Amino acid sequence: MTGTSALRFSGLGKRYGRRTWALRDCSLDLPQGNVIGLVGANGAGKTTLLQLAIGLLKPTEGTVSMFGRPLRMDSPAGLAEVGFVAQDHPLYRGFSVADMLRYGNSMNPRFDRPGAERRLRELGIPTEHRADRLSGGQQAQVALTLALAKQPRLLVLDEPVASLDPLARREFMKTLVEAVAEADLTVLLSSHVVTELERVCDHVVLLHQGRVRLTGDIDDLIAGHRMLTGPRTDDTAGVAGLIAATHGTRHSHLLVRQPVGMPAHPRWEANPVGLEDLVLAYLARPDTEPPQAASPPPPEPAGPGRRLSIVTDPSAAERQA
Amino acid sequence: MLWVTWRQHRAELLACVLLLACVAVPLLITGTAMHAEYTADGVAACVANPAGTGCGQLVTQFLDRHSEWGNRFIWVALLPALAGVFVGAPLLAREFEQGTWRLAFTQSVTRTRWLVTRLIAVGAGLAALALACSALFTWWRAPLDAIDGRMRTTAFVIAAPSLVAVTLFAFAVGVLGGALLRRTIAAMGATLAVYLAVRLPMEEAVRPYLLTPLVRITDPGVTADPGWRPEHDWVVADGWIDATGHRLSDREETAIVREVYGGHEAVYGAGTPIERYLADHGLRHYAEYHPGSSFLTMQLVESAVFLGLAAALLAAALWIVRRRTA
Repeated sequence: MTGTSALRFSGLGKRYGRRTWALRDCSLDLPQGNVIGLVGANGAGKTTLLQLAIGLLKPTEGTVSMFGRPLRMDSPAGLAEVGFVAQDHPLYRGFSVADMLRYGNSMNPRFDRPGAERRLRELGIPTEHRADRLSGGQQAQVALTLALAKQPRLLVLDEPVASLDPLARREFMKTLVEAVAEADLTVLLSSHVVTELERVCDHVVLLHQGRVRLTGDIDDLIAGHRMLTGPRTDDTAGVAGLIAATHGTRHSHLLVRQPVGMPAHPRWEANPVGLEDLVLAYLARPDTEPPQAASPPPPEPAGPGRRLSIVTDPSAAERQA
Repeated sequence: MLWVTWRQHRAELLACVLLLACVAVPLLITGTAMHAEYTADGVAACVANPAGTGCGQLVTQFLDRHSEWGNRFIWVALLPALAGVFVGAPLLAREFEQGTWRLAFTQSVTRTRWLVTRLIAVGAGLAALALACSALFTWWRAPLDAIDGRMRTTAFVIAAPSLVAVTLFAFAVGVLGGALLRRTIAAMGATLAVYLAVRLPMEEAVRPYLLTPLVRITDPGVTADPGWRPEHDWVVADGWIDATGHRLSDREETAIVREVYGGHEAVYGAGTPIERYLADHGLRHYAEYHPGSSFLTMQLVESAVFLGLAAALLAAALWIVRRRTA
C-alpha cells in the first residue's frame, strides 16, 4: 500500500502571465495510501499545485506523474482515477441532490450510487432537496460524496472546509476519515488551517510563496524537531539544525531539527513541538532554500498508523486494526 | 451523458416548445381561414391560370388583406438569435461562471466527449425546433408564396434549409461566445451583436449575389399593361442601360428625371414621359434577377455558408474547452 508514489512532481513550475510564478521548482514524491495535507498561506500556490496535480492546469515547466505514469487527463481511464472537490464545492444550480447523484452516475463508469445514497442518508441530507438550497456544510458533503462515489484512487480537495463553520468542518473531516478507512485511497487536501490537518493527515507539504518549504511524514517531522529552551543568549551559531530562534527577556526558545535521541546541551531544556508551531516557524524563515536536516532524513514512515489515532468512530478503528 | 444533457437543457426545451405553441395557435387559426379564402375566392384558380378574368383585381385584394401579416414573418430572421442568446451562450458560460466546469472536467468523461455530446444533442433539438417553425410559417405563407414566389426575404428566411442553418449558426456563435467570455450575460450580448452583424449584411448585401443573377433587358414600356401574372423573380438591381451596355448611375438617372419633369425630381415611377425619353435616347430597362427556380439552389448555398461558419465556430469552442485551464 505504501512505498510507491501516488503523485510525483519533478521541477514543477507554473507561471501566470509573463513573470508571476505561482509555483516554482516543486519536486515532491507523495506516498500512496496517505492523507497528505498541503499547508500554506493564502496565495502560497496551493490551488495551483492541486490543479496541476489533476490536470486542470498545465505546468509551465516540469512534469507530474500519477501512480507511476505521466498524467493522462485526456483519457477516461486517467480521469476515473481522480476525485476532485473544488474550493467552493460547485454543484449544478437547480439540480436536486438526487439529480447530482444521477449526474455522477452517468458521468462515471465506476460510480457507487447505492453507497452515495447510503452515505447521504446517514448524514441526514434529503436527496429530493435542491442542492444549491442546502447549507454550505451539506453542499460540501454532497460534493465529497460525489467525488468518493467515483471510487478514485486519488482524492484531491481544495480548501474543503475553508467556508464551513466549525461543526460542519468536523462533520466533513469525519466523513473523509471514514471514507479513507474504508477504501485504498490517497488523499491530498489543502488548508490554511493547520489544526484541521493535524488531526487527519499523515504527511504534510508546506508551501510558501510558490516554493516547498517543508515536506514529510508528520510523525517524523514532530519527532525530528524540538524546542530548546534555556537562559537568554544571542549566540546560537553553534546549535545544530536551528530553524528559528525567539528570544524573551530572560529565555531563548530555539526550534531545532535534530535526530531523534540526539542529546541536547545541558544548558537547554528540550521539549516536543506541535505541528502548528513547526509550520509557523518554517513560514517565518526568511530564506527560500529548503531547510537541511542536521542528519540524514528519517526512516520510511511506519505504515498508515497516524490517521487511525484520530478516527472517531471506534468500529472503523477496529476494522483497521 | 445524454441524461446530463437532457437534465441541463430540459427547461430551455420546454420554453421553446411553449413559445412555439403560443405562436402556432394563432397561426393555425388565421392560416386555415386564409387557405380556405385562397381557394374559395378563386385566387388559387388565378395562380393556376393567370389569364382568367378579373384575376389582377382578385389577387390584389387578396394580397391587400394578407400580405401585411405575411410580411411580418420577416421577423423570423431574428428568431435564430433566441437560440444563440438563450441556448448557445449559457451552454459553456454558465459552467465557467458557476464553477461547475471544475466538476464537469474531473468526471470520467473527456472534455471532447462532454462537449461534443452536448453540442450534438442540443444542436439536434434546435434544428428540430427550427424545422417545426419553418414548416408552420411556410405552410401559413403558402398562398402568398404561390403568388410572389419564395425568393424574396420574408419567404426565403422562413424556408427550412435557411432557418435550420442560421439557427445552428446562431447557436455556434453563442457557444463560442460563452467559451471566450465565460460570463453568461456578456456572452448573450455578444451573441446578439455578432448575430446581427453577420445576418443583416448577409441578407442585405451578400445573398443577392450568392448566385450570379440573370439579366433581363426590356424596351421602354410604351406597350400596354400585359395583365397580372404570378411574379416569382427576385429583382436585386434594376435601372437603365444604353446601347453600349453602360448602366446609368443614380446621378445620371436623376439628371434625366429632372430634365423630363423640369426640375421636379420628386416625381416617382416611370411615367409615360420618361418612357418616351428612354425610347428616344436609345435607353432600355435592365433588371438583375434571380428566377423562382433558383430557390432551392440558393437555399442550399446560403445554408452551406452558415453551416460552414457554425462548424468553424464550434470547432473553435471545442479547441478552447480542450485547452481550458484554471
